[in-house]
Amino acid sequence: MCAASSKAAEVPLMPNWEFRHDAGEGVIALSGTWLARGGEAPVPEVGRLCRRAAIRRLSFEVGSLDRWDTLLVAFLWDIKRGAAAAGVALDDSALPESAKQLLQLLPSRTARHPAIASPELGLLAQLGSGSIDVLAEAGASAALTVAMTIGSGRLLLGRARVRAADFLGNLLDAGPRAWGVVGVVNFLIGAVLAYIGAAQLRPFGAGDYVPSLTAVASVREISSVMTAIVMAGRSGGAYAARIASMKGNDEIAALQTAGIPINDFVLLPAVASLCLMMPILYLLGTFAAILGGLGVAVASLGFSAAGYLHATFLAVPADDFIFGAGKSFAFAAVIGIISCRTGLKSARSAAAVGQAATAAVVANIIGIIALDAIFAAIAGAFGF
Amino acid sequence: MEVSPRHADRTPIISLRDVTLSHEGRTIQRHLSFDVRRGSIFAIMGASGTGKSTALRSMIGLLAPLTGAMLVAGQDYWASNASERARIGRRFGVLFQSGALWSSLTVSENVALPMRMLTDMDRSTICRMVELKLALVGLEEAGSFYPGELSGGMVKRAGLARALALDPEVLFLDEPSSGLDPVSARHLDDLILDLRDALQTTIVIVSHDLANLFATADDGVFLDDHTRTAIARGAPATLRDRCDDPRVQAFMRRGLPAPTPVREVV
Repeated sequence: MCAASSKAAEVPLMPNWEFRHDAGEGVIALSGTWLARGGEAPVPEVGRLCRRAAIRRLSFEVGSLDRWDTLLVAFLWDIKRGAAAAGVALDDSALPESAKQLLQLLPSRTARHPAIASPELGLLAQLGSGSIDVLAEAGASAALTVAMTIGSGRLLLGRARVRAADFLGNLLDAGPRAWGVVGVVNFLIGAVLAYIGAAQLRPFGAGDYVPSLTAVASVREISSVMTAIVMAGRSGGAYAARIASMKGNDEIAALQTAGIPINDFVLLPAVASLCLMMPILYLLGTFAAILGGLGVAVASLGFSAAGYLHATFLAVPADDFIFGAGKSFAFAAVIGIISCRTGLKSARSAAAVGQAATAAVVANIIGIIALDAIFAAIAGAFGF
Repeated sequence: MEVSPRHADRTPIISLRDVTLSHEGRTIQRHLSFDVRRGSIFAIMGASGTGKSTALRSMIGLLAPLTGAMLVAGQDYWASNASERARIGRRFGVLFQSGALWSSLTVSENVALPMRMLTDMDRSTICRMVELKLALVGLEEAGSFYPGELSGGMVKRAGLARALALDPEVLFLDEPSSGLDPVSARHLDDLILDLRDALQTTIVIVSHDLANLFATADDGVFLDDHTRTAIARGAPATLRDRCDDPRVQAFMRRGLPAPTPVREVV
């Protein structure tokens, strides 16, 4: 075994080794303190040394070896592998017993660079592979959309296998519990619109159009989009994270093996509740935005409350509310489908849960903006 | 861990003194007093739900006891300040029941992280030490895998390699053989014994796997869920053969009657 700790003062603190040889017999003399925490392990180039000196047998001297830990074992393992590669017999009899035991646990040869890489693809093959992935994802999302549509129909008919408690919980989460954040965001947006509108319109003597600008912008565009973006972050990310977490814990697998349809049991309550609640949230957001504009107009722009509201009601026909609510419903469907799909295709790890939530929010926001552009183009084409 | 100074010493490295553990206002175990001797493989035994893992969580510093003291090499762990507790904690290595590998890191990165964060080792030495630890547990070719790509047995072994990263003085293993097939469990038992013999590491095992306990542990304590305290003390095989407490016998013999009358030793 190692020398007593009292010897520490007589031997170097750093790990040291020395190679000697005579008539084909090599000796590695170990000395000093071999502790991993503070230092670096010397690298023995055993193969080169043995070949140069035509060594056939290698042994050790440990008389000056002080304290040691697995740093020494790492060094000895390098020697063991080097000796095996060079065909040199290794005599470890002089080593400390415990070091010898550890060395016996370690293989003589290891693959330092195991072949676990995927086969490399050419540019064309990568393009093809990427296209197939995109098409497969589009197909899976379309299938999920169809499944959710059919499921919603069955839900309306009372035939879906949805737990009432789950559905109610999702309704509360996507509805009343989101009123606060949706209301505050839209109120502030309405106030900002009123300020900007006043700053731009008043120089042209058109300050009276501030209520209509705020109302039309909120009802047709801003409230539906802002509400959807808020819900994409609030509920979309949560859905993706929850489903990814269920997948990681094998809860999804357990449902599948038990024959319980995950579409009905897990996904439908989330998607259907969001689709039901989003138009209501949109209406709430619209009124909050109008109130925000009203507050600014009355406080800073010299409008009367009655006059502002009268101008607002004249500016916005009921059709615009229906259009905005319809868009909100579509945004909700996009958020629900994208979020659930992102959760379902996530990997099975804690990191994947976070990645799924982030990916769902990003994809939702892009999807909402893209869908809004499509709605704008359709509305323009029909002169709406 | 430093191998050289440890050998002949069989003094307690961890001592629990009248420790009572509670969780969310509920008493889990009370009046626990036992010593874990250096170089021993100490088993915390008992049926499911008796508080074995809670006792382990307290011993590794995750749960402060309601009352009592834990001495680590004579130093009162819970009476020490946070930085002192962190310093003591670096002498511990822990294999959690689930492996608890960091899922965003590869197996090699999992093992390397404690070395990077807590030592002054240079990069190449860390690489060599990681390779060594993985080879010790037979995972030298799985370093580049992520935890999600590993089998249950590989996760356990990777967790063990990470627990060994800093050459711990005390290695805590929470249900090391759970979820493993008998062959893998046997290999893990052999590895635990090899590590104890070679590194002189003190090992604390929480388990209700009898094969694992009989194969490895040379000391231990039996926790009872009815009285909520330790009711027997000794090596698992000794408790099986010589303890006449019916609760211990029922556990040690899987509910089967003892083949011969047993004598009181506790």
